[in-house]
This record gives sequence, structure tokens and C-alpha cells, in this order.
Amino acid sequence: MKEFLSAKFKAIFFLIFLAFLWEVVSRNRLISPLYFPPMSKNLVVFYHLMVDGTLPLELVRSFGRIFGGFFLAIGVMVPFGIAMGLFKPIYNLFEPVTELVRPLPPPAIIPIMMLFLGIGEAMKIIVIFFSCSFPILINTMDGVRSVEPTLVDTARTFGRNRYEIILQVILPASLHQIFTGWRIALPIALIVDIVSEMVGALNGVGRFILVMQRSFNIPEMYAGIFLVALVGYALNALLRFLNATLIGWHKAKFEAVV
Amino acid sequence: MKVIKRLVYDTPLSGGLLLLVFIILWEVLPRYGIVYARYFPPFSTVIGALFEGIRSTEILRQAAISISRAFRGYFLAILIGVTLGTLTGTIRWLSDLLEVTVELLRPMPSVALVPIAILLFGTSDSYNISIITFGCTWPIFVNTYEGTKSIDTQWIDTARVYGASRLDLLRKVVIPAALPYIVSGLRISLGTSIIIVTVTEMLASYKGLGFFIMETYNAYQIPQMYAGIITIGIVGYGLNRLFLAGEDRFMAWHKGWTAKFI
Repeated sequence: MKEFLSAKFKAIFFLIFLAFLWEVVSRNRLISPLYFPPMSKNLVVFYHLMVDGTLPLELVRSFGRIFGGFFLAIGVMVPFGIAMGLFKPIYNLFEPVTELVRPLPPPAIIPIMMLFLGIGEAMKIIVIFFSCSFPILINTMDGVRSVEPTLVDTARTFGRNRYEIILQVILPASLHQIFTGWRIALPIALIVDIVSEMVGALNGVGRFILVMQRSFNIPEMYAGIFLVALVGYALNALLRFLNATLIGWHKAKFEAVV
Repeated sequence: MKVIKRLVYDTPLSGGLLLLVFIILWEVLPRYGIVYARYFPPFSTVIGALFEGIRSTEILRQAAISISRAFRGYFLAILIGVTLGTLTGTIRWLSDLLEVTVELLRPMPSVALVPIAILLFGTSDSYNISIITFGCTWPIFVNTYEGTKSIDTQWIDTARVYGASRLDLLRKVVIPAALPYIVSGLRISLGTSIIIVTVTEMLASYKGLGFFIMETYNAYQIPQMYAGIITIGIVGYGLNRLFLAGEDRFMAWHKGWTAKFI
């Protein structure tokens, strides 16, 4: 424990050291303070923008899009993935189409969506939905397929029908793999949201960062970037926590069985 | 009846038919004005624009520029990622020192750094390359780190007993054992590099496929825009296929090798 604490302390100290280095280098004009304003200035601006509600408001707008597209993708692609994973005819029917669309980088469809939907919420939600769809679909499909046949056979022996088997056996047993898809998709949603806001939007964190750069409000730009970094970190931590709790019971339950 | 059932269950025939249906719809719906043809031109028009772009070498040139940028950023990322991953994986105090910084930077969406890179590099290739390198380094770095951590200490001890030096250990034990992990990081990053090059070109560049689709979008040359998007898809798909082929060829030793030992 003591060793762990001192390691953590060293690591945080290193981060502070980097910030300090930035401050000194910028103050002494070793790098252009125009492009890299002193860290203290950036942090003060960040604090003010957070307190006066500017950044939180932009963040709420971005979150609406991110989670809108993300949950839409879960709602559509999890049932679809289960169907494709369990029923061979459905898999055969949709596999070629998904294989052809999958390699498209999600941001490349932004212009198409802008043509049809303008630069409003719908465009971003659809683009985020698209970018989250494939990780969720593929992991759900794989998860459903990799369920131990013994589990299914056992349930069948006990007289469970098809729907009971799907709901009571296959879904719980493949939940951790399905969750893996969500875990991959959420950071992608964040990235694609920022891209789509930078390409075409009226508000949102991505838009904020780009506008501040273009109007040369560099400390404000860094404040936006810090916020994005913190959001990325927080989402990652949340996912790791959820994963630990999910995988925790999963391991205990299924390793005992198999 | 039985034949139909077998076709449905065992062959991708139905999927091929569905694909054909989609293509026919893509052709017919705009032609009859059911979807707005200016925004969604018929399939044949888009393919025509694609071939025209290839014939005039316009699309090929833009693709070459994008691929070149993606590769330069990607190789820089390999260099940084593998080096850092090996160092932090083998030197304890270094990984302790960098942990928090890495955990803070890694989940950061690379595109958020676009404005900084524009300030620093303008719209030169260095702008695209720096963002690509930032985005591609993490998967390689993390996989290399995990790979060096996964090594059985017995292998290291055995090599040491046979008198291996530190460099020998690295060259003959650590790197080969971590290679399968590194390769999977490389594959993830290859896809990432194509995505990021597209994004950075869409946001601020005067060349490349990402620029091409935004330019044609703004100029309202919609068939050309679709042709550009299709080209990006083909490039991404082709590079991934090439990588998988290379992996089969050069990593084939790994399957038999680990199977023998474990």
C-alpha cells in the first residue's frame, strides 16, 4: 500500500512538473506564449468558463448528441446483433451489406448527412449512431455466438422454450461481450461528436474549441480542450468501473458453471 | 424446398440478393424522384463519377496524398509507441512515473488537438501527421506494454541462466514474445490512421481525400463527393486486407510456436 501510494504520488508529481514546465517555458518565451499561453492563465480561464456556465452548457449539448446516438445504436444494434448471431438466415441476409459499409470512416458520411439533415441535431445523432453501430453489432454477434453450448443444452433439457433460453441463458452469458461493444463505442461517439461539431454545428464543445482558435482566444481554446480531456478521462473511468462490476459477477457466475 | 432451405441457411446468396436490391433501389429511387436526386444521385452516376475521377487521376492523386500522410503519421506512431511501450513495460519506475499522465492523455479524442496543431503547423502535412501520430500511438503503446507484461518470467530466467545480456533479453525474448500484442495494436492503429487523416483533411487541408469530399460538397458536385467517400472506404478496406495478409504471412510462426510451449 505504501509503495502504491508513493508510485501514485510520483506519477501525479510528474504531471504537475509537466504543467510547471509549460508555465516556465511559456513565461520565458522559449515557445511562443501566443500559441502556448502560460498554464496558469489557461487554468484560470478554464475555471471561469466552468463557473460562469459557458462550458457546462456546451458540454450538455454535446452530451445530448453523444448519448442520443449511442443509445440509439444500442437500441437498434443489440437486438439486431442477437438476431444475426443466433439465426443463420438473418446473418446470411445482412452480412454482405454490413461488410461493405463497415470500412467507411464514420466522419466521411458527415457531408452526406449534412445534405439531407443540415447541421442540426439529427445530423450529429445519425452520424454518431452510425459510428457506434458496428462495434456494438459485431461484439453482440460474437458474444451471442460464443455462449457455451452446454448452458443452452441444459436449459433445453429443463424444458425452457426458445425465448426463455435467449432471455435467461444467452443474454446473461454474453452480457460481458455485449458490454465490450459499448465500451469500444462510447469513446468513438465522443470523437465523432467533436468532429461533426467542428465540421458543422452552431454549438457544442467541438464547435467552441474551433471558434476560439479561429478568433484567436487561445486560453479559451485550451480550456475547451482540457474539458474534452477530462470528459474522455471520466467516461473511461466510468466504463472501467462498470466493466469491473459487470465482469465481476459474470466471472463468478460463469466460471463456476463452465 | 430442401434446396431453398439449404441456400438460405448455408450460403450468403440471400445477402447478395439484398445487396443487389439496395443497388437497384439506389438507381431507381433517385431516377423516379422518390428521393431527391441532387442529394442522392443514382448509383450509375456515382460510379461514373468514380471512374471519371480515376481516369483523370484526380481521385488517385488525392488518395495518394492521404495515404502518404496516413503512413508517415502511422510509422512515427509505431516508432514512439513500441519504444515507449517496451521501456515502460520493462522499467518499473518509468511506468509508475508516466501512469497518470498517460491515463489522462490516452482517452483524449485526438481531434480535440486539431486547433493546436493548426496553430503550430498551419495546413502543412505536419499538421495532419502530428494528429495521426497522436491518435495512433496509444493503441500501439498500450498493446506493446501489455505484451511485455505478459511475458512468462520463466522465459526471462531461462535466458538469463544461459547468459543473455540485457540487450539479448530485449531482442531475443521480450520483443518476440510481445510481438503478437504489438501486431494487434498495429492493426487497430492502421484503421485509426485512415479515419484521422480523413478528419484532419476535412477540417483544414487543401489536398487529400478528406479535403476532396468537403470541397465537392461545398461546390455541390454531389456525385464526385460520393465517389470520394467510396474511395475512402476502399482505401480503408484495402489497407486492412493487406495487413491481414501480411499478418498471416509473417506471424504464422506465432501460432505453432506458442501452441508448442503453452
